[in-house]
Amino acid sequence: MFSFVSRRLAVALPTLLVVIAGSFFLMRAAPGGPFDADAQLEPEVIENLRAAYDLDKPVTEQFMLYMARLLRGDFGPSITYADYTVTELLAIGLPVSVKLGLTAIVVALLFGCLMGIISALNRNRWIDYVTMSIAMTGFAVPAFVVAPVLTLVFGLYLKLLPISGWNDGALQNMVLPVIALALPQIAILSRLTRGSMLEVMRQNYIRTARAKGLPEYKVVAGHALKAVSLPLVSYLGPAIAGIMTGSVIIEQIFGLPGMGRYFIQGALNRDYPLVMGTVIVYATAIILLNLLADVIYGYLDPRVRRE
Amino acid sequence: MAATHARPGRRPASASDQRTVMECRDLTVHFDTPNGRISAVNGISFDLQRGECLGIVGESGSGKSQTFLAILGLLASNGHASGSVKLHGEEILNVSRRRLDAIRGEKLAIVFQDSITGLTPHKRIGEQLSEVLTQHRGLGRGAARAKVLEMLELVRIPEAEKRYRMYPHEFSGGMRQRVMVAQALLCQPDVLIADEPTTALDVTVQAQILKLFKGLADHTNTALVMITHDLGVVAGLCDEVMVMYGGRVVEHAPVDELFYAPRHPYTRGLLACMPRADRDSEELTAIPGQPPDLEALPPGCAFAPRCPYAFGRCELERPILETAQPGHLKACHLEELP
Amino acid sequence: MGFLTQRRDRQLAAMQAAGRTVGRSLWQDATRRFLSNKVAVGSVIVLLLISVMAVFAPLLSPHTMEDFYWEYILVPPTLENGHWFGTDSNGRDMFVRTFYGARVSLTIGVMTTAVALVIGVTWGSVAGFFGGKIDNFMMRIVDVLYALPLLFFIIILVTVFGRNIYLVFIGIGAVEWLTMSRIVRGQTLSVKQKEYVEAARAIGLSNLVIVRRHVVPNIVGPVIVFVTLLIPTTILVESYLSFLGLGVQEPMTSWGTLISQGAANIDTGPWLLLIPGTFLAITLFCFNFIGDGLRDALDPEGR
Repeated sequence: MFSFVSRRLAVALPTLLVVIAGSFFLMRAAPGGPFDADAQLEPEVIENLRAAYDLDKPVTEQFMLYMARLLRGDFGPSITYADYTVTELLAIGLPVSVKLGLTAIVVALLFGCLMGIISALNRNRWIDYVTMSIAMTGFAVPAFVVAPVLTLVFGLYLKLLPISGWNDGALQNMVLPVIALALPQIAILSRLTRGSMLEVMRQNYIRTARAKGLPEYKVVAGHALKAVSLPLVSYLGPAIAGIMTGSVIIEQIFGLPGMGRYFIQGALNRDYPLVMGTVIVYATAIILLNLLADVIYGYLDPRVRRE
Repeated sequence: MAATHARPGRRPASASDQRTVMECRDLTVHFDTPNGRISAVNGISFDLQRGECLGIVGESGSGKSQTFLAILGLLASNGHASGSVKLHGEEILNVSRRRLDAIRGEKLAIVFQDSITGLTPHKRIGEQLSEVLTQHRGLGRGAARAKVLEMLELVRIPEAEKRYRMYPHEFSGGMRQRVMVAQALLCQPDVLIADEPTTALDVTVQAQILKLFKGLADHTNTALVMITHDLGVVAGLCDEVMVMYGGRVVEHAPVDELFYAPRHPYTRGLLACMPRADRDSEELTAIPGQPPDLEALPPGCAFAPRCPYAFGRCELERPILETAQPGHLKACHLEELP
Repeated sequence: MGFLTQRRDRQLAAMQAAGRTVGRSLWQDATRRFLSNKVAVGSVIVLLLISVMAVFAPLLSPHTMEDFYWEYILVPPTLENGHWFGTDSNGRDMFVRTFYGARVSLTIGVMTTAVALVIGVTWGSVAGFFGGKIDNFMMRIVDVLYALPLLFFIIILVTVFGRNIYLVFIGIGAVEWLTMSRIVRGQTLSVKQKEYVEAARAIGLSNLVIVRRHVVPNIVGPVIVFVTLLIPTTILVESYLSFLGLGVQEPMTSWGTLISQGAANIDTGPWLLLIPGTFLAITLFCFNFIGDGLRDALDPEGR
């Protein structure tokens, strides 16, 4: 198990490096800079500013400087939010995004698996059709359509829930963003669970378990569930990526002070250090969570663990 | 007397009441598919006595496996069974799941052909076996473990203690099949069904597994049903043989009679296919033609298209299973094979 | 002895005959199965209708894309003044704008998928065909890219290089090819090991013939299915970018842009969101139903 994890880590680190280098050079390759919009600034002021952010040096040297700083845990100062360092901004945004994302993924897993299993066990009965229609709807109606509709219905018409703001993550402020964020994943997860369940229940070992005289709940819980969960664990990586990209848009719609907002603001204003900081955090999270998914997979499937 | 119709009646009828473990009458199985109805088994009847070994022989698609899957309530969801199957006089066909669960693994056990997919891959062997005992006997972990280890040694699995904690993929094919047999025997069932238990194995391992069954058949009261397409398996093991074709029984006889005086052309064809050491034949013969299409069985004898002796009547009228001589049933219009 | 060879000859002849008829009837069977799938056929019809409207709708309406009707601002859908889908906050006709958006969204969906198709099929078939170290290396790259938040790269790309529609679909296409390459590689590998390919090689067919007659037909099925499922994905990604204001720019419009404007006016003009949102959802539905239908038709065993 240890060598399994360390081998995955050996791939993860270069991947992270690729991300950092990729986004760094991508941004520097583009024409223009962060101070283009400030037309009223004197040329020498801009020169001074550029020097302050090391932008006057050659790109490779900038990269070296950036990496050296990064290794000390310093993401540098933000350009747009002039009084803040990127680290400070991340400290504000990260908890919001983590709380939102984690809640959404837990909700998605809970409802997705439950719906999929119920659907599979009642295959081709009305309950199967109902759950799968809901799943199909969640699949085809994107979060950025669902979210405004939710605010319209629950916020503006029914006046049950606030339509925007974070309010330190109060429950009523979380409900709508979490639903909008989780819905597409619930749709995919429930279809995946249903398919996996139907596939596993066809296996010979399920027949063996039934032939042993085990009641159906023991057959499902003891012999099917682990195998059913394997494709779900494989999907965990993409699901997390989906939740992250989704959260960018959801934070925008509901006006939440998360990472996504800083990322978009940073990208729009060419705030290089801010964009780099958010991308590195996102990438690290995705890579680590993928690693976690691999470990869980290895734990569930004894054949992978030994390989 | 329905029983005489179904059974060769080797044993006196009076004794059969206590000795008969299972009575199967007119069992029919069909599957509903998008392309129509498939008749897999068409009215099968037989009895099983205590300690008896019954061989079921036929090609794939002859309905031999589906017959017993139906009895165990393990048909695919689009499969339907009708007729009657009694275990110790109690009807067990199409009964509730709760009732089935009490019987399966306890009184009726089965060993499947494919041990690779037949054992749950992510569960330790020990857990898979001991749960049979916790389910049916209410044993605690320790007691179940002791019993399982005992059974693993009985089926000659070395280092049972160590094997107990291993996963199926860490076993060889033969070992896995022994585990399957051990699992089926844990509750000392009244009937053990072995569905082609040696097909997926090497010849040498096959012989070992068959030896295991042989010991079982000789030393316990368990009635053994050996489903196979290989008459060679049947020869050394079974007391009686039922030959199936197109979902019907075409011949049912004591094993020696079937081998030395087959009464059905299909049986004779199967016997001719057996490679034999005592006869130096140049070529391997096969029965020409294809197994019947179960979606559209002919009105006459299902074997007629492949039968070398078929005549006009065979294609029009289906022969019924009748007594050719005491203890020997056949379904063929020919009085004697030429 | 003679008996055995005779038998084998007969079997071979039978197999060849079967191969010919199977080859032909496989597609016929698939077509028949697909046509008997009412949901899938219905989806095809709906999609065709939307496409036809995307092309001809501006001709049916008395209004155009850019007409500003100052006297009709935020008019709800009505039959009276010709604004069948209402007007937006600038008094522009939503009927024309919705179908103009359809034109852009569908085009981007198809073009992007084409980009992904070309990259994915090339990458996957090269990896699968050569196998060994090359395969290992190429697929490791795919694995690494798979684990990355690539949508963020697209966002950086379009923000720093300007919001150019071509950049959008090349960007999306460059990201969405990964799964395609895995599918194609898997199919190529498995077909390569199939007995009939070895048999074909043994009877002396050239590589090209083998590829054309055996490899391609086996890859086409899964690729078609995946393409039908990729188009809605790319439409969705484009809408996502446009919603953030990073995709299609004014005066052009797409469903994502319209939905974004609708979301901004959700309290005063919910139809601005609901109408393009519904069309987007219907389109995604249809593609998914068609994809499922094609999969069932091409791979009956899979069910």
